[in-house]
Amino acid sequence: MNNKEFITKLAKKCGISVTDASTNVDALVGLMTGCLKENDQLNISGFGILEVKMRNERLSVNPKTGQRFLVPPKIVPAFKPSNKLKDKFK
Amino acid sequence: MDAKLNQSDLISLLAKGSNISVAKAELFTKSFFDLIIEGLEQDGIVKINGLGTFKVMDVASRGSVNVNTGEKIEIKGHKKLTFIPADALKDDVNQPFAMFEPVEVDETYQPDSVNEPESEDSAEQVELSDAIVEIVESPTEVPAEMNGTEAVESPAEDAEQPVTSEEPVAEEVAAEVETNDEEVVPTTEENNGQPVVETESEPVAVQERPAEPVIVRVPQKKTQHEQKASSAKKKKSKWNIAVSVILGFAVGFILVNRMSRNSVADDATQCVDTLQVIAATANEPEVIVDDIHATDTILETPAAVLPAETDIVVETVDDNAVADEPAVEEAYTFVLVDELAAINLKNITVADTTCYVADGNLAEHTVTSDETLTRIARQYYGDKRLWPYIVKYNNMDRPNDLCRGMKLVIPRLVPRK
Repeated sequence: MNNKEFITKLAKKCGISVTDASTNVDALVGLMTGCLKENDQLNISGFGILEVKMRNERLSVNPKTGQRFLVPPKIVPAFKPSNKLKDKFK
Repeated sequence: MDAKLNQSDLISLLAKGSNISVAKAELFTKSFFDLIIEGLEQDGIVKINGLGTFKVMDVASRGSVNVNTGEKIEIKGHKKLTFIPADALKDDVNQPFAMFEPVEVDETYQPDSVNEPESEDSAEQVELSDAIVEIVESPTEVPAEMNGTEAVESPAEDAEQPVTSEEPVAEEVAAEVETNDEEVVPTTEENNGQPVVETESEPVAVQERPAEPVIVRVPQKKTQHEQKASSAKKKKSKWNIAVSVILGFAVGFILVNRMSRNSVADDATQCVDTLQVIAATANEPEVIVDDIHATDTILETPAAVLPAETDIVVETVDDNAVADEPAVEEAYTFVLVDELAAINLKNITVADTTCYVADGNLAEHTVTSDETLTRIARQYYGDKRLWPYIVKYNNMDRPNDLCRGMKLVIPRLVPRK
């Protein structure tokens, strides 16, 4: 299911126009992005937890050339599905 | 920052941000997440622009070992829900570290943090906000982790250094205090020998010192105390008041005790205790003052010590308020020591008298003038402290009223077994 299909179905489900659904999806995604930027944890019951994690710096080696790179630390968004959801797809 | 938001928080935020009713926002948000699950069930993949891709992935079966029994087990292949964040979300979240790029390093480089396992999510999570703050404050520094490790190491080093350096300092202080004691005592005696420098309190202290060997330490301390007056007047006056209050308290306590004591032995031990307490309290301020004073005297040559001491003594004479108080303290101390001696004597009397029993008549004694019970006791027993046996044996109601011509029966005393 790609983004277009998702919005169409969502519009049908909520009984709103596709454009409204599109703006609302954008607003919601923006909100979630904003929360994650602030290191907040989003706990959505029945779905899972959206949070950010920090990855340490590490050394990586290019196996072809043997070059060593120091990869800087970074913060990555992570999703942890709820147990209910996990069991559903197991 | 670091807050935990749930679905209702998200709904209220959406309602506020998009100007729609809370009910609509709730319906929308719930159907949003429900549809993701629905889509995953249907297609196994849901793509949302700006957020990322939710995907059901296959996990192949793999062999493993039961950690408890060591048996080989097979973990069956299953499906797993994964989330691949969109680039926009990744970049937004990683903004604090955005300026970093992979740097090529030579082979000798070995960062400490490489050894740490990368999967320590909880620990990383805790560090996250701090690390961000660090990076934001110092964007030019590439290895953020190394900063952390250095910061951790340096306090440990700091903590070690004082420990090693403390011991010699303490020894020095102790040595200084000792040398100070030795120096001060002779100089005070010399000062007393010189008629030029006369204080009212000091000769008293030195004269009484040999008479009462028990209290040698106390007046010595007091004279030291006086000499310290110039170096730490403010401290001293405070301590003087405190110590004199304590002494007064102790004297009152002992007097009350003496009035209402049941056994003399108890009283004596209490008295000794209180004296020790007083000595301890009197010592405490000196230790502090000694340190200050010791450094002064140590710096000076031995020849220069004597004039310095005389100066100090003269100053104490001028300063009446400071000089008077130690004298009062000494008086208190001497009274205390006298009392202690008296109590000790009586203590022995009571203890000794219980060691004998009367066994028959030894003699009959007619009291002559200028005779007392103690003299009679000394005459017959060789020990004046045994007079209460005579009183008891004769059933005397008022032992103080001994009149001439009174006939007393002196008991024979046999040591109690």
